[in-house]
Parts: sequence; C-alpha cells; structure tokens
Amino acid sequence: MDTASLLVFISLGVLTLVPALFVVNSRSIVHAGFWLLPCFLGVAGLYAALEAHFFFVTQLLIYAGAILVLVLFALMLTRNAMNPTESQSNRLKPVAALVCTAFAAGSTFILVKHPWAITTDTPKPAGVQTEALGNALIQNYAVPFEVASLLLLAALIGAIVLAKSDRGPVPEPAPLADLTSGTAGGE
Amino acid sequence: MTSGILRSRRPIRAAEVGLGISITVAIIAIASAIPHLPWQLLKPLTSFVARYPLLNALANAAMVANFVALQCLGFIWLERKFAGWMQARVGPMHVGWKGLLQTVADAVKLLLKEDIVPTDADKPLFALAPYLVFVPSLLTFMVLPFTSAWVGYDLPLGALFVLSISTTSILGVFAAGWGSNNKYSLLGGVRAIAQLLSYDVPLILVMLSVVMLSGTMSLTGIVTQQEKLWNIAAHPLLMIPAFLIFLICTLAEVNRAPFDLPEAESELVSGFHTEYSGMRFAFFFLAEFANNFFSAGLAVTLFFGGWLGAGLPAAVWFTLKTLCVIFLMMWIRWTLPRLRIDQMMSFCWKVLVPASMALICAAAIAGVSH
Repeated sequence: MDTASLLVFISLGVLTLVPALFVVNSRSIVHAGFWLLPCFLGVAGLYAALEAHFFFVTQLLIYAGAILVLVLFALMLTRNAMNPTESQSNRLKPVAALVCTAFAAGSTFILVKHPWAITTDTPKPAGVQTEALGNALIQNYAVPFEVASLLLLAALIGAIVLAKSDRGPVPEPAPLADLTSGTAGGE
Repeated sequence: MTSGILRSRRPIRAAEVGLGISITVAIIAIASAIPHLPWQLLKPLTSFVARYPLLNALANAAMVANFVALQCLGFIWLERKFAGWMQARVGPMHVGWKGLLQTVADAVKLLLKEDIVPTDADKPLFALAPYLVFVPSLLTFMVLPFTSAWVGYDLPLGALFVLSISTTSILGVFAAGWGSNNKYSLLGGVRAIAQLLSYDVPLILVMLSVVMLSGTMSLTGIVTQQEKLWNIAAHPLLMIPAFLIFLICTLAEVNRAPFDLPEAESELVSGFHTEYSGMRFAFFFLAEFANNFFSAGLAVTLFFGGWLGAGLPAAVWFTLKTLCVIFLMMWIRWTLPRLRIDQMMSFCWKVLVPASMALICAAAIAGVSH
C-alpha cells in the first residue's frame, strides 16, 4: 500500500471510529443517533477508496439515508428514552465487557491468521462490477436472496400486526375533494 | 363576493408576456455568446489551475457553489413574480427594474440580521441543521449533466448517487425540528421524515424503471441513449405515467405545495425552520431552491433528453427544458391547496407505490421485448 492510500485509509478509519466512540458515550440519545452519520460516511468512504462504487452508494442510501432516519424516527416515538441524566450502564456491565473482549479477540485472531488472498489487479469499472453483482444475486445466490426477502416480508407483516389497534375500525378520513382548510404556499 | 373577486381579476397584460419572451431571448443570447467570449485571455489562469488536481477540484466546487447561490437569486424573483401573476397582483416592483433586485436586497438583509438561538435549544444540532440540509443539495449538482462536457463528475452510478445523497438531507430537517425545542418545529420535522421516507419509495422505483430501459445508471449515459428519441416519446405508455409519478414525488421531496406539510404555515407557523433567522434561515431557503432546480434538471435528464436538441447550444437546451419543468412546478404550487397529512400518506402508499410497481413490471417486459 503506498503512502497516499495509507493516509486515506487512516483518516477514513479515524472518521469512522471516533464518532463511533461518541455514539456510545453521548449522554443525549438523539446526539448519539446523529454521531452515527459521520461513522456511516466513513465506512462509505472506505468502500469508495476500494473502488467498490455500488457498495459506496448503497451504504449512503441504506445506512445514512434510511437506517439512520429510521433510528431517529423510532427515538421520536419512544418515551423515557430521552432522559440525559439517566445512568448509562446497568448491572450486566461485566458480562457485556467479557462478551465484547471475547468477540474482539476472536475477530482479531481470524484477521491475523486467515490467509487473505491479495491481488494487484486494478478493480473493474463500476458498470461491470454492478452487472456481476446483479447476476450473482439472481443466479448463484438466488435462494439466499429470496430467503432474505421472505424475512423482510415477515417483518413487514409483523409490524402491521403489532401496529394494528384493538379499538375497532378508524372512521374513514374525508375524501380528497372535501378539502377546505389550508392555503397553497404564501411567501 | 365571488363575482367581486372575479371582476377584480385582470387579464395578463401584453407587457408581461413581452417580459417573459424578452427574458427567454436574453437567456438564449447570453448562453450562445459564452463560447464567443475572449476566453483565451484566461488561458494562463486555466492552464495553471489545470496543472494541480486539488486546485482544479476546488475551482469546480466553487463554480458549483456559486451557480447554486446565483440561480437561487433569479428563481426566487421568478417565483414571486409568478405567484403575483397567478394571484392577479404584480409581485415585487420597487427594488430595481420590475423588482429584479428585490432578492438581492433580501439576501443582504438576511446577512445583516441577528442570529437568534432559542434559550433551551439543542445548540449543536440547531447550528448543524442548515448545513446538513444544504450540503446534500450542493452535492447533487456534482453529477447533474448540464452538457456532455459540463458535468462536475460523471459518476457511473449517478442515478443511484443522486437518490442516496438527497435522502440524507432529511437528517438536517430533523435536526432543525428537534434542535429548536419548539413543538411546531418538532411536528414539522416528524412530518418531513414521514413524508420524505414514503415518497422516496415510488421515486426510487420510477427512476429504476428509467434505468432499466436505458441500461445504464450514469446520468450522461441516460441522456446519450436518448439521442434518437427522448425517453418520454420513445416509450410514451410507460414514460408519461412515470414522469407524472416522478413529478409528484419530487414535489413532495422538495416540500413544495401541495405537499409543503413540514412547513405548513397555517398549521405549524413555519414548521421546522420556525426558530431560524438570518443566514441560517437563508441556507434553508437556498437549499430549497437548489433542490427545486436540481429535480427539474433531473426530470429533464431522465425524460426529456437532457441537453439534446437541434440548433441552439446544448447548455441552452438544458436550461430551457429545465425552466419549463420549473414553471410546471410553480404552476402546480400556486394553483393547488395543501393536502392533509393522512391524505398525502395514503395517496403515496395506496396509489403511487402500486402504480410504480406496475411500471417496473411493464419496464421489465418492454426491456425484454427490445
């Protein structure tokens, strides 16, 4: 790895990891949510540095665009989660520390020991990469892909069942033509 | 009462039609003069800049930022004039010829105004919000192809990049709504998230159907494959509904009436930017007009052949087509009343999403039969 790409890698790593620390340490849970943004952008930058264009863009779209917004939206609908004076740990602290250390040690071991295939080929252009990914998804990996979509569908139906109220049918809202309130703009 | 209003309405005067025509002619004249200006005098400067990639990138970025700021001045004036004409009044008239400098005066006023931060506001988020809204809309201009040569960076996945960047501006709206510590702002912010997330779904699906027919995700690629026939004419049965869904979704994405619920002034004072003043408020405004221009430009790129056209220079064609779409958006804004939040959500999920799903299936069939 030459100096320039090493520098890019280190700065992107800092951009990812320092906000991640703030996510964990932030007293305000909304701030913690917003600290996720630079963290996700850093990961997207790592994909861009590897010339994985499709992953770069989907990381932006899915994580920075959708998941982060959903996290914040869920926070909005949660009571009692907003208290900044609340204690940030509970009595499972030592167990959690143990599990985290074990996981970190395990993944470091695999990272160091695994014989990673290193290639000096230049990455293929974005169009070719995306096409190969699409073909892989609907040919070689069609079954896992469909299983994942089935899982998402089950989650969707589950969400509807949970959100459905027991209070009986909601009265129909007025039809579109019945609109009398509100004016169009007005600067 | 009604007859009184009707009687006071005056027809659009010949002078106003003349004004419109002369502005169009002036834009064409300026744009066609650009290649004939003495650019070679600037050659030492441009060759110096081109030698250093970083300097070159900075120069490009400065050009985009200036374009965004300056087009905003023009379009705010145009929007006010247009609103005036739609409502049988004259609009700004006093600063400059026909009020042409009114927006400049307003911009100066915004720069000089006091920057007010509410006492109990979440200060970091309050300060960050305008930039979180403005930076994504600036970034989208990076991939918008004005002509085949005049594009900041021709990203191979331009269409996807545009979608992903524009969704991140929701975070800024949310930060403004939350950080202001004001119930109207918070309601506006929550509405904005619900609205943008919902309308993103049909927007992505519609753009996907265009991408499927074009076979490329690069925005310049989508334009160049329309060389024979614009998309809207090549597949009229598919692309006309696609354009209508796209237009509705972008109106919702840029918070314009009839979908301006996040800032509905008759219910929420001014929604998520109620507490903002001075330059921070100006950033929200700038972002709104930049988004507006961008979504019109994107519609032109996807459906109306981008810069393609005979006779006039490519940049003029792009500008003219974009202006037409912007006028369509202004027309809708000043004609239709605002929807209610439940109406607009059910319209999205019960009408637009199934319709765009059907469009994707139709696009797949059309693509296979080609």
